[in-house]
Amino acid sequence: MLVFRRQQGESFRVGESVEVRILQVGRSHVKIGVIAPREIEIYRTELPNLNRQAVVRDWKDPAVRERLQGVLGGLKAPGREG
Amino acid sequence: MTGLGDIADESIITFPEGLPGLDDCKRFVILRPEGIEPILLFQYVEDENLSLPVIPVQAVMEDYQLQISPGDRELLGFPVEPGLAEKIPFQPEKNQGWPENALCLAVLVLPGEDLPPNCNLFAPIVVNAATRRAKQVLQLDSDYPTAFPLPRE
Repeated sequence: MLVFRRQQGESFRVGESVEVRILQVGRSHVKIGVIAPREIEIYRTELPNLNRQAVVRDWKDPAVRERLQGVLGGLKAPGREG
Repeated sequence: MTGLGDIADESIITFPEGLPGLDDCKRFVILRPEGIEPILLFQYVEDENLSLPVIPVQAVMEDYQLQISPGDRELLGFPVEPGLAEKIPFQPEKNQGWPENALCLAVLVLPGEDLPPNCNLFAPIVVNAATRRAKQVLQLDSDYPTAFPLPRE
């Protein structure tokens, strides 16, 4: 892995077509801007994991239904009122 | 409002580009089980025991703004007018340019023992109910979180 330091406002390139800019550095977060051609898909590496984590097995199982209904209890559910 | 009524139970939704992390599955049946509205389930066509729960973004955040590029509009079969900006914000509540038959659904992660339920507002699934095509559309220009916590009951 290549490791180097950049400051807020600085950038670096990956190949000819991709530029990564450090927009803002916070206490625990870094805001990053990426300039790349449209055909290059950019996504956060956690996205595949998030989708896999969301998959439920056997929604007809009462325990799973209970968890699904548990989500609704905290929502205002504007669609269900009027 | 959301075009939900246009999606019949048991109708198949296709993700032409697949879903990150679930790449082997591109076809889902959309289910609306009673008692858990407005949650919907994308059930795997190949394995009916597996499903992905989703919730309309408006049920979570009333003023949610979706940005979708002309390329993605074309992929999903929405009209693409010439001269459109690179990204167009849509606000279904205000009905400003929200494409007819568009659904915007956040992937829902059910609560665990130490984990509140949350949903992914950064990468909503956009469905065209007319063409039954869908894509997880990343909101790269937004600050929407991948794990937006939902209040517990």
